[in-house]
Amino acid sequence: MDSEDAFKKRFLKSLLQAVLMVLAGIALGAAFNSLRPDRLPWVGASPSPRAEAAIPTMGVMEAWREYQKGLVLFVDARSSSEYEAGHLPGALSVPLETVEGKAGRVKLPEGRALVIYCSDTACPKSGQLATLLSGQGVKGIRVMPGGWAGWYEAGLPSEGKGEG
Amino acid sequence: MERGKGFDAFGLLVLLFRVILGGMFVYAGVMKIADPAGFAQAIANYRILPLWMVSTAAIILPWVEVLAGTSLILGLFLPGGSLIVAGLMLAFACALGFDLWRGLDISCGCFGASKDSITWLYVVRDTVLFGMACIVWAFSRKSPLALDNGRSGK
Repeated sequence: MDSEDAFKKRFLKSLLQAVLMVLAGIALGAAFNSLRPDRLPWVGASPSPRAEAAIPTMGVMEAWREYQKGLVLFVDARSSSEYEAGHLPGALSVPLETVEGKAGRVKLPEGRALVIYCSDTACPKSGQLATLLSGQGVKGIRVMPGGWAGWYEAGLPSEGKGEG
Repeated sequence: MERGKGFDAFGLLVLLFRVILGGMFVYAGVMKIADPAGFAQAIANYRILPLWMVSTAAIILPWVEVLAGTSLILGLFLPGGSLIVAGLMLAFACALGFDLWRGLDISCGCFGASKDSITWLYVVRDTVLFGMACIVWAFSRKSPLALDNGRSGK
C-alpha cells in the first residue's frame, strides 16, 4: 500500500518521465518534419493547401446583395442535419459526402452563380466541394468563406427548423 | 528481468492493457506521421486549439503517441508512458465531448484522416481507454514482461 508520500513521489517520478518523453517527441517531430519534403510550418493557421485557393470567393454582404437580385443560388456543403437546423435562403443541400461517394454528377440548376458555403471560415468543406464540382465541369462556382456563421452573425435572413 | 514477476491474473490483465493501448498509440501515431497535413486539418476542425498552435501540435503529438505507445509495449518508463496515455485519452475524450455538445459535425482524426463523423461512442471508447491507462499507471510496478523490472528499482 502506498502512503501519501510514496504516492506523491511516484507521481513526480511519472511526471518527470512523461516530460522527458514529450521533450523527446518534440525533438523527433522537429527532426522528422525538417527532413520531409512536405514539411509543415511550425506556426501556421491553415497548413493543408486550401482547395478553394483557385476558386473565386464572395463575401457575405456581397452574396446577400447578389441573392436579392436573384443572381445566385446558395449551395450548402454541410451535412443534411446541419442543413435542416438552419440554412441560407433557398439553399440547396449538397453534403460533401454525397458527392465524394458518387461517381455520377450532381444535377445543379444552371443560369445562376453557385455560392458554396459550410459552417464557418475554418471549415474545409466548401472549398472541397467547389473543387470537386468544378472538376466535373460545373461553371460559375464561388465560395463564401464566411459560411453559415458569417451569415448568421450578419443578421441576415435564414430558413430552417432551428432559431440559429 | 525477474522471471515470474507479476504473472498472476491481475498482472496479465495489466499486460493485456499495455499491449492494447500501446499498439493503438503506435498505430495512431504512425498513421498521423504519414499524413501531417491531413492530421493538421483534423486538429483545426476541432476548433479548440488556437490556429497558430495547430501545426505545432500536428508535428509533435504523433511522435509523443509513438513514444508513449512504445513505452507501454516494452514496459520501459512505464509510469511516464501510462501517464501520457491517460492524459491524452482524457484530453481526447474532453475535446470530442465538447465538440459533440457544441454540435460540430467533424471527423475524429483519431487514427489519421477519415470521413466518418464523431459520435458519443467515441467519447465512451476514449473514457474506457483512459480507465485502462490509469490501471496501468497504478500497477505499473506489478506488470510482467516489462523492461522496467530489470532496471534497478529505487
